[in-house]
Amino acid sequence: MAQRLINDPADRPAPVVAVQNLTRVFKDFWMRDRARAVDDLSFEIHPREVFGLLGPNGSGKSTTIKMILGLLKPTRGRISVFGRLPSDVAIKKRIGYLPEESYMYAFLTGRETLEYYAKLFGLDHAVRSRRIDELLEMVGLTHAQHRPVHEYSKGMQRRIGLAQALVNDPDLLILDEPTTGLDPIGTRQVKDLINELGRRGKTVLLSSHLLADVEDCVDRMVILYGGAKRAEGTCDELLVEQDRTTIETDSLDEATISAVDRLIRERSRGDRSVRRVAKPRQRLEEFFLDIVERAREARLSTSGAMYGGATARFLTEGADEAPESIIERLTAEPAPDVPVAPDRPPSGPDASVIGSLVSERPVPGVPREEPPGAGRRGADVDRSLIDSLVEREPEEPSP
Amino acid sequence: MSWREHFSRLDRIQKGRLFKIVATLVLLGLAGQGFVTFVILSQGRGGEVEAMSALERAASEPAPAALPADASEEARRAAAAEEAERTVLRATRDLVSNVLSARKDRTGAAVAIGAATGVALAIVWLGLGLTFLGLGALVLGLGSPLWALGWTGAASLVVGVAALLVSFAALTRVGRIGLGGTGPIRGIARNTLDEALRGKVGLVFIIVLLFLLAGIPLRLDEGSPLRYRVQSFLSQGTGVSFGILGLFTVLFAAASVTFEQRDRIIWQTMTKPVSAWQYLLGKWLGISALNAVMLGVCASGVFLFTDYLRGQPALGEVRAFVPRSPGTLMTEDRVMLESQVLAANLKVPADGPTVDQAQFERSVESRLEAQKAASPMFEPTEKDRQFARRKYYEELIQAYRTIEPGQYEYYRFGGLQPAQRRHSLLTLRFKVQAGGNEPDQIYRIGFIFAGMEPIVQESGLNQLQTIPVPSTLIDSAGNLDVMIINGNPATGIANPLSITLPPDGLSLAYRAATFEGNFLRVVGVLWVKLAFLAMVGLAAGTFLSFPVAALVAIGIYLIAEGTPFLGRSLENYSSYTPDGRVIYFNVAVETVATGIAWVFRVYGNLRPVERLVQGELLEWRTVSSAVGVLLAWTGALYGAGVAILRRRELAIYSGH
Repeated sequence: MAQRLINDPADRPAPVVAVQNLTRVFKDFWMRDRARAVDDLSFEIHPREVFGLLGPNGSGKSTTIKMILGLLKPTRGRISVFGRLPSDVAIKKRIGYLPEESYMYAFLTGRETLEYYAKLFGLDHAVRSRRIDELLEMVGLTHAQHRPVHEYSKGMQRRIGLAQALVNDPDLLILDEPTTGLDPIGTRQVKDLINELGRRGKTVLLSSHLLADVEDCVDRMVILYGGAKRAEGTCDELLVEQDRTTIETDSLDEATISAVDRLIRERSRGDRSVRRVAKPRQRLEEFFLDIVERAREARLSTSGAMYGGATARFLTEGADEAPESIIERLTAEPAPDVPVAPDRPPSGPDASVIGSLVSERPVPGVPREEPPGAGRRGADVDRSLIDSLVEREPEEPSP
Repeated sequence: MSWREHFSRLDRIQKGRLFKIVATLVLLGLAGQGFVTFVILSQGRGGEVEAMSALERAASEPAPAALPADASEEARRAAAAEEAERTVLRATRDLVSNVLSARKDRTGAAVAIGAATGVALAIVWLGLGLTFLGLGALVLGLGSPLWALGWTGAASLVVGVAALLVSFAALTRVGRIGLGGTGPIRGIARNTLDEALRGKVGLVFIIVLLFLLAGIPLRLDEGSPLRYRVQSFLSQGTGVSFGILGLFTVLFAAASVTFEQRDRIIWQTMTKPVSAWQYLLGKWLGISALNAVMLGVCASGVFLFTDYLRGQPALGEVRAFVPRSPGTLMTEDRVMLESQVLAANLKVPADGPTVDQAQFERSVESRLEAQKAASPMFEPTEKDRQFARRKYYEELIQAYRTIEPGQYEYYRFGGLQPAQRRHSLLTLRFKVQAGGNEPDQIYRIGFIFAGMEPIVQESGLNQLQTIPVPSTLIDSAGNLDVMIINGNPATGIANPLSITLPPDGLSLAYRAATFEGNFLRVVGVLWVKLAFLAMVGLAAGTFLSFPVAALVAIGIYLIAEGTPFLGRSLENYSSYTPDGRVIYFNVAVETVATGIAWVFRVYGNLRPVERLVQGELLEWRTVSSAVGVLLAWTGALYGAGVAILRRRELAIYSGH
């Protein structure tokens, strides 16, 4: 698997984007200050990382992005992109941008739109043609490529917008609210694409107020409010509750739960106990995708959107083999005799319930989905309790 | 199979290589057959051969023997008049011979057939062959019933619109191919062209233009002289084309940039590796390409229909170039058409009066002295002297151009060496005004050229008249002198009132180039003017909202087009009362108007449509200097637009 960014700060290469004390104040016609959209903001985006710019509506995310792209000028502060000013035209060759809304030429077809933007990068005909075919396939718009963009739905327009942002195979991809207007499958595809690009060594700046969409993708994030930075760090640094431990097992009866609680109290001399016992809840997104997968396997017809294909080949060329994403599985031919969650059989008849907790044997039909940054997450979890519960040799720490 | 599937199948066929090859062979065969047919038909044109023979005989009569040294003055005048008449006949023979030979010229016909075949082949290889055939069948299907019902006007309109549409489609396809390729400039140019062609506003303008152009022939008065019909068509055809294209250009150019900023589409372009100068240049190229296509369509339509009109019988003819009256070599209408309208004549104005500077200053001082005597408090300043000089010069000019009843005045035309070398037939053009220019008044004006008998010409008031003049009358210094008499020198009867020759009322013209070459120069100049207007709209759109940018661009367009009228008006505009007091408001108006007229003088002085209609030469020298100035202005506006666009915050539009 391609390495994501975990480097010693001393060895870290120059940031792709460096923002220092950035401030933007909007004035009215009489030059009076009307709104301080960005207030003394500083952050850096390092190469090969997925960076999140998060915040509620009006927090300054889009304004910051526009200043990075040169569409606005800062009132104070400095910005550098690839070591140059945002107004430098040369750096634009390495940037792909998807704005918060799709601003397209209504009279162009989907294909013509991509042709136009590809020409702006000076791509020759053969390269343009190949990339456009792959991008249209990827975003699921091959069948609609000859229709004018003004006839597209909002989701289709977002897809073509995403495609134009990728036509130049950018080193820095800036996505402003990329999942707006997309259905859950499209949202999932965008997230998988971001992860894929991150694995390929691309740098991605992702701005969103839909936190659930962002959480699965970003390596580091900055949270804005009122134009100012309120928090910065990785997901683990910001989200992991270091003073709690969650253990997931197969269903337990009350007696077993009580036994576990007693064991915890004994070992902690009464300081700790089981705080909460509940049935884990599947995420709605996963449930939705499961439904769709089963429908596809049953070959039920639909007149709705066609789902996209695999990531465009020119975007994945040179990348290490990546784990299969759920989207790739959805768009692949259904394999025979694949049991469908949640009707999967239990893992083994004679393994203890707790023992399956750390089993490395994969559950049939369920892909081993390595969440992003998982290698970096949970490195500090206390495993002694787990070890004692399962009465096994301690696991080697995962890399 | 549905209609749509049928059309798709036909579209695939016409784009296939086999179809293109077969169509090419058919077209080449038709072209060859057409040329052979032309050669056969052009062998005998009975009437034209007779007319030419008569003219040849008249022009080839031997010159009389030289006069003895002691010949009388009267005999010398008669001999000079005969020689002048023979010169006129030879020039007329040459003119008619040139016209007739061009019509029978096989090389010209081969070129024309070759060009038409080339266009047809281009259409086939552009993948539009069956489309055009289908359009042609549709036109025949619509036009034939109309023709059969006697609605020839409507049928002509259908055919005319279809012909223009066909050439428009082909040229547009060529334009799109020409702007193909990769890179920001060509990409933006091609996109701009598509935007104009697919947008509703663009389509409306184009369709209105094509219909108007096709409808102009229907409004020509069949009973009027052919030369007036041709002039009307040339004037309306090129004038309407340029007027509509000019308006569309400024509006579309302003809209193209402002709407992209308003709708934020420009973000997606300017966040790519596109510089401000590439963006504006691409926009300008796209609009200029569209103008080239449209001008090409309109110009070819105008030129071809003009040629068609030329082949119609003129006043007094039974067929083209065949006079009704036996013994008439060529009707006046035909001569005027071929020499004054479908020509490229260089117009030489009469020289101004000779002014003795010392006498002039003395006269000015005496006037000031008279004014001081009338008003003892009056002390003349330098400004008063300038006013007095200007006023006195205007009076001199006016007096020079005015001839009292029964009186005469001499006028000189200089710089006629080129006409002398070419032995060109000269045309004296004059217009007289008298009193209230009553339309029913006829004045008799006498003209005496050096060594010739007087010529008496009847003329309505304020109407342009012409007199052919042989080039033999030009002296060795390249000058030609004429005495103009306010009355009939033969009868001695004077006209009732003084006559005045207005500023453009007296000139000498001679053929300096061909109508076809002049037409091409005019179209080229029109394109350059449109290119300038496009940059006006684009530059305004870089920093103004659409309504304001459109207003500014249209305003500049109208002011530039109105500059000739402004210049003429300023000649008669005074900032002083009759007794010499300054009217400050008028001074302000005159200052502004003079500044505007000066800024746009190059644009305004071109007058390409007017020159074409009057058969006046648009010289290469004039064209190149005007084009240079206009392109310089275009470049200056472009530079300003680039500078503004670079500094603009594109995420803000109109303050939001």
